[in-house]
Amino acid sequence: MSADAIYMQTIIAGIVMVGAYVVGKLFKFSTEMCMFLAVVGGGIAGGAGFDLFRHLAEGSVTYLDIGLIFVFATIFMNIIKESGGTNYIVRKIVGAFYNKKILMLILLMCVILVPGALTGAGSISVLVVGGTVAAALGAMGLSKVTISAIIFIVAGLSAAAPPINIWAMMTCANTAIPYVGFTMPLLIPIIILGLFTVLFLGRKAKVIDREKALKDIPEPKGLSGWSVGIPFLVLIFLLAAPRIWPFGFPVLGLPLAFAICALVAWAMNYKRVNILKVSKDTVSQLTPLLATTAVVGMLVQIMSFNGVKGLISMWIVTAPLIVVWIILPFIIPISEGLLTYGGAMVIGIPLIWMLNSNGINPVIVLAGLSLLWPLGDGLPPTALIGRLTVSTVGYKGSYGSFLKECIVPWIAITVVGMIMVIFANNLSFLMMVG
Amino acid sequence: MTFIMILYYVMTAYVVGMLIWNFIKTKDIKSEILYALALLPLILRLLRMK
Amino acid sequence: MMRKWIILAVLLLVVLAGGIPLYIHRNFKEEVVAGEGVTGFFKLSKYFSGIEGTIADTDVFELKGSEEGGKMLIIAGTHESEPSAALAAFYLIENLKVDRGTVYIIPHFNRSGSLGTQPGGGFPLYFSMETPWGEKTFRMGDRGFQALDQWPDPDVYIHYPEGQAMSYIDARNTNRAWPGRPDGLYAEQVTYAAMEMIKKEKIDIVIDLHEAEAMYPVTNCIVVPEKSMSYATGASFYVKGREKFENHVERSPTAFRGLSHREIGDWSDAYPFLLESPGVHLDQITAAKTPELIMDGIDPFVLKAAEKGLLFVPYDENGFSMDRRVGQHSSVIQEIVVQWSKKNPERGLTISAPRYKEIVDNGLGYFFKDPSKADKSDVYLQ
Repeated sequence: MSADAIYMQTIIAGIVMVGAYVVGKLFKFSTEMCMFLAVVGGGIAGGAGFDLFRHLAEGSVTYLDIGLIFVFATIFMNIIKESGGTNYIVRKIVGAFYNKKILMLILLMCVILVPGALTGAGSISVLVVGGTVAAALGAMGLSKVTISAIIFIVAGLSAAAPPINIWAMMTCANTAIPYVGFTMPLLIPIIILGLFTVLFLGRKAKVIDREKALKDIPEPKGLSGWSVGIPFLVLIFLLAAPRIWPFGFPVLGLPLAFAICALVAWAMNYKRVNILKVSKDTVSQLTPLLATTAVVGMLVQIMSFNGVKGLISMWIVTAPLIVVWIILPFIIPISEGLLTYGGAMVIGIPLIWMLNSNGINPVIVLAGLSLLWPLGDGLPPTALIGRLTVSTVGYKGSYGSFLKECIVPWIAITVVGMIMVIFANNLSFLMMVG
Repeated sequence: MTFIMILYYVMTAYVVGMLIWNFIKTKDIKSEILYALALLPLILRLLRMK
Repeated sequence: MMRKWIILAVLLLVVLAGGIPLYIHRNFKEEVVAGEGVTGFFKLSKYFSGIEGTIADTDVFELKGSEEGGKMLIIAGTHESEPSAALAAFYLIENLKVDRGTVYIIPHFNRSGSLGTQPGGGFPLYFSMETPWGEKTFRMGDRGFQALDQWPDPDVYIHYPEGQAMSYIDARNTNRAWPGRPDGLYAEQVTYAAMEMIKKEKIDIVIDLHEAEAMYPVTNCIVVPEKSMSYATGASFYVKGREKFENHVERSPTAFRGLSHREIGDWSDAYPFLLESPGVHLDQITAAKTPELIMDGIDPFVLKAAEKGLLFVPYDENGFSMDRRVGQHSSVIQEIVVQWSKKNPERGLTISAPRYKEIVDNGLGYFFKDPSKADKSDVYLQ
C-alpha cells in the first residue's frame, strides 16, 4: 500500500471513531458506551474483520489489575466508612480543633486526600468522606457551592497523589518508563495546591460551631480508635514491607494488600458491617470505572491496531514544542472530559515518549500532567467527579456556577502543572527527595 | 500456580460474582451494558484466556 | 429479562470469539528444523531444577564443533515482541556450522512472553514469510511474562541483589532480572538458571538479541560493558567497512541494573553483548500494526519522523526489513566471534553461516528448511 493510501486509511479510521463517539453522544449513551462504539467503528474501519473480537478481548485486560485495585481499595475504604470510622475521624478533628479555623481546613483537606491517594480514584474520596467533610465545612459557614468546589478540587488532587496515580501508572506501563520516583514530585505540589485551595476557597470560613458540627456528624457507637487505626497500620505495613524486605516478603500486589486490609477492617468491625453488602454496593458504585478501564484498554488496542494512535503521536512529536505548551492546558482536561483515562493514553503516551526522547525528565512531566488530568473530571460530557461532588454535597445551583467557583484553584493547578512540564529538568531535584 | 496467584483468581471470581449479582438486580439497560463491559476482562482471566 | 439474556449472549460471544484465538495462539507451535550443526538439545532446567516443568523452563540447542574451543551462548526472545531475535535464533539453529568450540542457542528465553501479545499493543497474533516451499508462520509475542503465568505484579519491582527500584511492569521483564535468584519471580528464576549455565559451562561469550524502536536512542547498536568493549568496537568497524551497515557501540551504564549486558559481565567470567536491531513496529508513531509492518519495517509515519530528524537510525522508504535485521544479527555475532578468537586463541570458536548480504539478497525465508520434508527427529516444536 502506498504511503498516501496508508495516510488516508488511518485518517478515515480516525474519522469513523470520532463519528461513532458523536453518534453515541447524540443518542445520550454513557461515555463508556460511546468509547466502545468508537472502538468497534475503529476496528471495522481498520479492517480487523473477525479479529475485532480478539482485539476487544485482548484490549479489555490491559488495565485489569488497576480495576482490581479500584475494587479492593474501595471495599476497604467503604468498610471504614460503614463502620463509622470516617465519622469517628472527622468528629475527633472537630472536637479537638473546632476553634482553630485554618488547622481545621488543613486537616479536612488531609481527610479528603487519603482515600483518593490510596485508591487512585478521586470519586472514592468524594463517596467515602465527601458527605462527612461537607458537614464539617458547612458548620464553618461555607456555602454549598464553595464546599463543592473544595471537595472536587482536593478529590482531584487526591487521585493524582501518591502512591496510586492511575494516569502515571497507565502512561508508564505504555512507555517503558519506571513508575518510580513519583512520590515527591507529586506530593509536594499537591500539598501546596491543596493548601492553597482550602485556604483560598475557605477564606470566608468562620470558627466552627462545635455543637452544630457534632450534631450533623453521627457519632459511631462503640467504636474505638484501635478499630479505625489498626486497618490503616496494616496497610502501611503491607505497603512498606516489600521495600524493607524486598527479597524476603512475598509479592502480594496492591489488590491483595487492600483485600487483606479490608478483611482486617471487617474483622475489627464485623458486628457493624455486612461485608457482602459493602462488596456488592462497592462493585455497583465502581462499575462505571471498571467499564472505563476495560474500554480504555480496548481503545488503546484498536488505536494501535489501526494506526490512529500513531497518527496522533506523529502530529504531536513533529509539532513545534511551543505549540504543544500552548495547547496542553486545554487539551489535557478536555481529553479527560471526553475519554476519561483514554485521554492519557491518546495524548499522554506520545507526549511523554517525545519529551523523553528529547532528554526531558519524563517523571516530572508526567507528575505535572497528572495535576491537569483530574480537572477534566469536572468537565462535560463526562464530568464524572464534578457531578458526583455536587450531588454528594447537595448543591442545587447550576453546574456552571460550580465550575466558576473552581476557577481560581483551577488556574493555580494549571500554572503549577505547566511549570512542572516546561521546566521538568530544572525540577528533577524533586525526585531526589523521594 | 503459586498460592498468591490462586488468591487472585479467587478475588477475581468474587468480583465477577458481585458484578453478576448486580447485573441480575438492575433494571437499567445502561447499567446492564456497563456490567457486561466490566465483566469481560475478568471472565477472560478466570477462563485463563488472557 | 429477555434483554439481560441478549446482553449476556453478546458478552459470551465476545469472550469466545475473542478469547479462543488467544487460546489457540498460546498453543500454536513454531517448527524449527535442526541443521547439521545441532548436536544436542536439552532444557534450561538442567542447570536449575527449580524451573523444571514450569513456564520458565525453555529449550536449549547445542551446536558442538569437532574441535574443542571456547563457548558461546546466544539468547533470543528475552523480549518476545522483538521477533528478529527469535528468527535469528531459528536461522542459526538451521544454518550455523560450528567447526571449533560450542554454541548454545535459546530461541525463546522468555517462553511465557512468546505465548501472548501485548494487551493494548494492537499487534497481530502471527506473521509469516515466504520460503521456497511455502509460507512459514511465527507467533508474535510480548515484552514480558504473561499475566497468566506470573500474577500479580508487585507495586514496585526491586532488583536483586542491588535493591534498585523499578517499574512494577519490569517484574515481568527478563532483561531487568539478571543475575536472578532461585526463589524469586519466574523472570528472576529463568535468568538465575541461565547464570548457572554460564558459570557451569564456563561460557566465554553471551549474546542477547533484541530489537529497539527507531526513535529510541539505544538502537541499531551493540551494548557492552567495559570488558567487552574492544570486541564490540572491532565488530562494529568491520561490519560498517566490509558489510556496509551501521551498528555502533553503546556503553552499558553501571547504574542501571538487571540488564544482561551489565549483570552477566559483573557476575561471571563471560563477556556479554546485547545486539539491537531497529524494529520499527515497536515505535509509538507507526501506522497500523500489521504483519507486513513487522516483516518489512516500512511505515510512512516513521518516515515522516525520519525527515524531521527524530530517528536514531538511517531510515528511508525501503524500511528496515526482517531480512536486514536478522542479517545484521548474523553478521555481528560472527564478527564478535572473529574478534574474540583473534585475542583469545586458546578459547576461540570457528563458526559460519550466511551473513547480512546473502540473507538480504536471498530473503530470510530461503534459508528455512521444509519441516514436512525433514526427518521427524530433526523437527522441534517451539
